[in-house]
Amino acid sequence: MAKGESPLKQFEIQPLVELNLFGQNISFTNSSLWMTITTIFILAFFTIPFLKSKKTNSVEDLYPSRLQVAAEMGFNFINNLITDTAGKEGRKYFPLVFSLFMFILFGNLFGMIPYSFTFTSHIIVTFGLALGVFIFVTVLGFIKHGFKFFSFFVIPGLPIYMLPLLIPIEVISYLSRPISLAVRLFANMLAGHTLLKVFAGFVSALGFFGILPLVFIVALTGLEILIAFLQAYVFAILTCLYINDALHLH
Amino acid sequence: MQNNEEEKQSKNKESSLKGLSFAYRISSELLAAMVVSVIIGLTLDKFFDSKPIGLITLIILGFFAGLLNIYRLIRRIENSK
Repeated sequence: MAKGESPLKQFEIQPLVELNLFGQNISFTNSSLWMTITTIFILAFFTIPFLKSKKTNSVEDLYPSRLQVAAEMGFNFINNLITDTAGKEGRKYFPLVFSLFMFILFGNLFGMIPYSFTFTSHIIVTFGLALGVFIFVTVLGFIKHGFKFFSFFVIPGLPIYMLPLLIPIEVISYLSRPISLAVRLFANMLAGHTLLKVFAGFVSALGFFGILPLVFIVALTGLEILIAFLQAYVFAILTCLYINDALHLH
Repeated sequence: MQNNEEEKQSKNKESSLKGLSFAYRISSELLAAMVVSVIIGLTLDKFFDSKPIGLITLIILGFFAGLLNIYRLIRRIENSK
């Protein structure tokens, strides 16, 4: 980082291709570039190992390649997650949870590459994802239960005179789901990346003693990679829990 | 002896990391409920022209909704242990 540069400069959006549609700015930015890279990488990650194994017909084909094992591990991980939290009916919604998990995970991990851009550090991106989950879960609840879905806001076995107080609380609690989902991912990514850049500034400022923050940065980078995985996992498991709520109500 | 200490240290690091993610989850639950209730309160006030009453009521309700969220989160974590 050059002297005098803000640690928040890494989050700046720069348009790469200026585009305008009916007065709306729909430029292709560095954020969209990294989203495209992430999507293409995930597609390649899950198609290349399976394309290769069909070409030849030798004994070696019986052994899965390393890439294939890695792809299947990811598949199994989410598959078990859904079966554990949402039960067997939840398996239908595997594609949604899986693509959300992979998109966030690789977005976070690509953000750890120096000079890249972390699109999950922008609240509008995470809020868009969370709002998509929220609308999907609500529509699913209405399709499965019809107007009985409103009984979700009533705690069973409660005296009637408590209802006017508790229904608004339950409704607020339900509406706060997408915001807490979005804020959690965004705050983790923003805080981690800002902290890394702040300590990187100390390295050049302290001269010889800059070696101390340098050691700290190495440890922090490992921690950030762990958080990148953890946050994608939390987003996926909460999506599963919400699907479970919509399927089974209480 | 040294091995044991290293193990202890890595365990300590892990538990502090878990504590950090736990703190993030709890604070985001409380924050989200407050944000939602303040937005609803201000909209109601604009609609009915009753300036502070809707906001105050909804802030109180939102605080309880946040506490309810946190209570459910902790109960879920305790159950999964």
